[in-house]
Amino acid sequence: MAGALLVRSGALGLPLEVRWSAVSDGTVTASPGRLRNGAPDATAVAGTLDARRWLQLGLATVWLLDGVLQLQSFMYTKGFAQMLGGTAASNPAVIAHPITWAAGVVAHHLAVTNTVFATIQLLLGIGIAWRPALKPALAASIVWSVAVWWFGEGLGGVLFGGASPVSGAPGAVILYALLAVLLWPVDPDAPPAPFVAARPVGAALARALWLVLWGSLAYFAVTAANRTAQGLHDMVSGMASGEPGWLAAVNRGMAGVLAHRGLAASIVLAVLLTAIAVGIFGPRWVARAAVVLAVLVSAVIWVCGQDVGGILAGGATDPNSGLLLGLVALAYWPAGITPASEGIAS
Amino acid sequence: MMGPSWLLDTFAVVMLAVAAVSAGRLVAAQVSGQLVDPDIDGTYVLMSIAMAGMLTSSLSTLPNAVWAAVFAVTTVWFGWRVARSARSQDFRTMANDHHVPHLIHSAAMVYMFVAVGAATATTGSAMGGMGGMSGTAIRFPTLALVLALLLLGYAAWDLDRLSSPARAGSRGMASALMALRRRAGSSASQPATVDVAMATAGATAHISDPGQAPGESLHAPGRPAPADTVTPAGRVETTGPAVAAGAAAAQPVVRSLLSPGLASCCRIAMGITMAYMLIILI
Repeated sequence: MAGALLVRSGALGLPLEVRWSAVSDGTVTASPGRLRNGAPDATAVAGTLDARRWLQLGLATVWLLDGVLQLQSFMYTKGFAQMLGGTAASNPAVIAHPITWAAGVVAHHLAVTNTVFATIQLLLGIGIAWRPALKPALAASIVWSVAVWWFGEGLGGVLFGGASPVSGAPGAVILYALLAVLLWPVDPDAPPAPFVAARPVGAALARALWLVLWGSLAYFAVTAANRTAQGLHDMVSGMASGEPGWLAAVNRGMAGVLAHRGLAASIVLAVLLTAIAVGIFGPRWVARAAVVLAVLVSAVIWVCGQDVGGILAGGATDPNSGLLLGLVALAYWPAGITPASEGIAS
Repeated sequence: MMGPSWLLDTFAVVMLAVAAVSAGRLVAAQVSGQLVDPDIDGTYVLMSIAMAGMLTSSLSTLPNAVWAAVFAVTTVWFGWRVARSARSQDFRTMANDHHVPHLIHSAAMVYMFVAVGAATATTGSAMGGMGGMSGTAIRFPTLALVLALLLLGYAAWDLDRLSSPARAGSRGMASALMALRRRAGSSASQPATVDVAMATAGATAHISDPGQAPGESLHAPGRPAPADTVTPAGRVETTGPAVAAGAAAAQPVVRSLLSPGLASCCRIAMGITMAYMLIILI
């Protein structure tokens, strides 16, 4: 006995024809047919996750990590409120006053506010990973990221020259918002894009955002505070405290290389970041090289300069910018994205 | 203190709930004669009880060394099962294998009990939970972070699969095939295995087939056939008797307990809790 049946896709509502057969020993087998509307074979569409969905899940994982980090015991102490209040320093009054006010509120209601913060971040991670909640979660993550960038990171120090790509400029949390925009789900019928980040905003705007991000990092690398002879050395060596032995050894080694070479190191870093910033506009192989370089630089900064966000020393609220920069870079990998290969994640 | 006691207690309650659900799944599977993975649910019961005891010392049951040995055994067991599937499958299929997260969970449990055991040894408590580790540094904190990231990544992936069209497709195909199998008149007492080659295709159980009368429903839309077990790899396993009698006899509670979605929820809750414990151990 054999035949065909029509099943309907749960998420997309696409009719799918399935051939089946049954034999007398009680075995029923089925094999995939084709979508009735002529779309590609369903297994090709639904059996694998596309690049954008993988990146979305990466973002979800980082949000979950943020939520878990927010539940550390340190966050339930006055030290957390003081850490928030400390980001007001050197910022313009219009930015600093709200930060000070928010830190005061947190200090007076530590348990409640911190638990709410952690819950929000966990829910953002869960929402991004849970497909029906993807769009609301991404939208909420943008709002939350901007709020935390202001009230929790003092805008990353970008307004007073305190930002450095090594220490986490332009503020890790604003990169969450950027990723939410670049990974926003789009209509499966949207035109093909040269890379994942180009699908929601278009290739031109996506490249412009890349240029702003990496170009600003290049600028921050050579600001006055960062190009002093011992600036980078002091920054890196100061990270070693409380870190595990291998990471402290990396810090010491890196600090040794940077000692009294702050200016030269800053210039080299700025040149690399500039090359990354403009490389995305080049031919395909140049763009790929720029993305690879971006991933490598992000990894080096994350491990050697940020000590994986300081998580291993305790008290970190997020994994810092290096990991996020790497995720952003991967969203720009030039690899002809087509609607057919991406549609299922929309 | 590794965290506010009320927070540790909350996570402990979640773990006790996971233990209760997992134990319920074992019982429900036994009662209904349906196929589940008893090793997985059994391990979940053990893990949940152990984690609750680690989070709240009043719930401690066995010494840390005993728990470490138990989870060393489960690590070897799931390692063997993953290795076995690795021999016959490509990497993608192996990564989809539902034993991989259990291997990571088991390894994380071994790490935690060894780490906590070593850290609390100085306090003289053999059954000390995390509360007895105040200010004590653990060994290999990098491993704790790596395990936490893996667990959270798997939780995100689980959530994705839980809500993906592919999962609905697996359930829908299972329902469709069970209905067709009944229509084909196969022997109800004969066990059968149904391989759904396209089980990853998104589909719900809105079914029609050449012999179906207009408006006739072969199976309730979206409901998995009570007798089938859909593995994440897309394989649908079923037994004949359950097809014939189980569909009518299975109670809603049993069906709910045995649903793959509930198992995923338990796995996600356990993964996030375990990641939290690893992070606060650092």
